[in-house]
Amino acid sequence: MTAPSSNPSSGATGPAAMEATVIDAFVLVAPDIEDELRNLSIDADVFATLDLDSMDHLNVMTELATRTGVEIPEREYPRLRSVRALAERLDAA
Amino acid sequence: MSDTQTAELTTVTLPSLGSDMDYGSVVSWEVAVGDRVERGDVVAIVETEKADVDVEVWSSGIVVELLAPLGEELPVGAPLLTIDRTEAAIDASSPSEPVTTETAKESPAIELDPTQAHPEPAPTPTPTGPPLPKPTHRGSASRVAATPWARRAAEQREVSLDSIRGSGPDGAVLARDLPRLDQATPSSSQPPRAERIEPPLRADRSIRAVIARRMTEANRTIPHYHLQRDIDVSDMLDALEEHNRARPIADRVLPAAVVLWAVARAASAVPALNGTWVDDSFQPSSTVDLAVAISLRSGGVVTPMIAGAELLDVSETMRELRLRTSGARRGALRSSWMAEASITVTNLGDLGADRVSGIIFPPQVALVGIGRIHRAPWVVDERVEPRSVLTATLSADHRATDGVVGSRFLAELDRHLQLAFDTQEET
Repeated sequence: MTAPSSNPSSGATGPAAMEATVIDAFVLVAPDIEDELRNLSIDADVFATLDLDSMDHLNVMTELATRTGVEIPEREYPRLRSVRALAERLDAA
Repeated sequence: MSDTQTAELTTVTLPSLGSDMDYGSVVSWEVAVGDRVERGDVVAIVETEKADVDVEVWSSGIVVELLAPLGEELPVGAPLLTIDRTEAAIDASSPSEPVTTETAKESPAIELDPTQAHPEPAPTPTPTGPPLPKPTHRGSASRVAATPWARRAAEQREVSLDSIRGSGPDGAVLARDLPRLDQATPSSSQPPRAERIEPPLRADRSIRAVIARRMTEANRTIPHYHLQRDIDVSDMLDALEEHNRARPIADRVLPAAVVLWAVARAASAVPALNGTWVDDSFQPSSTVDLAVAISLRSGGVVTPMIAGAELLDVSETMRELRLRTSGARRGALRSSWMAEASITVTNLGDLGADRVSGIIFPPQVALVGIGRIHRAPWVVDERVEPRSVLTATLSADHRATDGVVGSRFLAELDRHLQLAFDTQEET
């Protein structure tokens, strides 16, 4: 969030790939709002903007843990509410 | 009717699909004539405006006849198929069929796949939490109104929903509007000219219109009273955090599940609120069949039910809640979840409301609204402390109970929220 992330590179790894992974996880959990998810700014608070509830939140985190092998501790959740924030956190792990 | 002297035929009818779903269409048979079915097996998938419902059977036997025409809109109670329950018929069929025991109420929702005619029996859920569904909604996103089944089927057949004129409420695309599988081409745009007779015009059945009627009726006929109680949940949240820390993410429990667990126990302790009002009298329920209101982003609410919720521990409650929530999100529900509940919880606090003072779903007599958990000043030992607090609101039917009963319920809810994890440690 505070890290001055440069434009996503086009490589298969790194922030851009991780952002795609994060968006995919959201789409899997909330397929009914796929359009909105894909059109949302990667800096937007996904949960507040699209009315995702605590169960959706847990499901997204579970899916990301499955895909990346990174389990983010609960106390970090409040900081990680945008696609970019989640991708950077997972990428740094 | 068969004239077989020994046949014991049972007609399986279109089950109640929730308080505001009166009609559905069979879009897929999961069994064929001659198949052996066990109690709890899914025999058909029914498309409704809100979701696809896996219809389960409640008795074992042999499928004798499929009665419902595919794709035809049917009212709740319409005959779907007949089953022969006689032992002779069952023995005569292949006994090597996999027999699933005790799958009745707790099986997870099967993965819906319109091409899969005979799904494997649903596996018993593992204690490590239900797996997430496979992605079913990739690409070809569309804002055209369509039922979940039609949307999936269209994607599978690579048909764009934009090209189809829907025959459902508000022009929603239903499964029957799609070209048949063998005719489907990516550019196909002609809806099949149905030779069947269109259903007769009835009142508007769009989700909004149905909710409008039901809620107006509930508000008009049920003399509601409302009671509120602020509950300090700080200790519960601490215990929950402790509980979760030791577990992998798939086994984590949410506060919402603890609240459900506590409501189920409170309803069990105050049975006068757990049941239905039928024919001018209260019919208590012997179990707590706890419905959870889940809002659909496409509009409307579904209220899948957890049968016997008072017997589950917190982790089991969480697992059941998770199954229903993800089912609702995917538009895939099970008919056993949609049976009549004895009490309902609505947890809008998750989305920010402080208090939820709701309208009861008839014929139930109580609805519990859970507000947002927030930090608030709270007096502890004559000093003000910041604590985590939620407001629980009971909406109750004054025909069935008086305020003193409602007060007792809220006190029980508070008490159970305080000891949620005390009892967990024992098990």
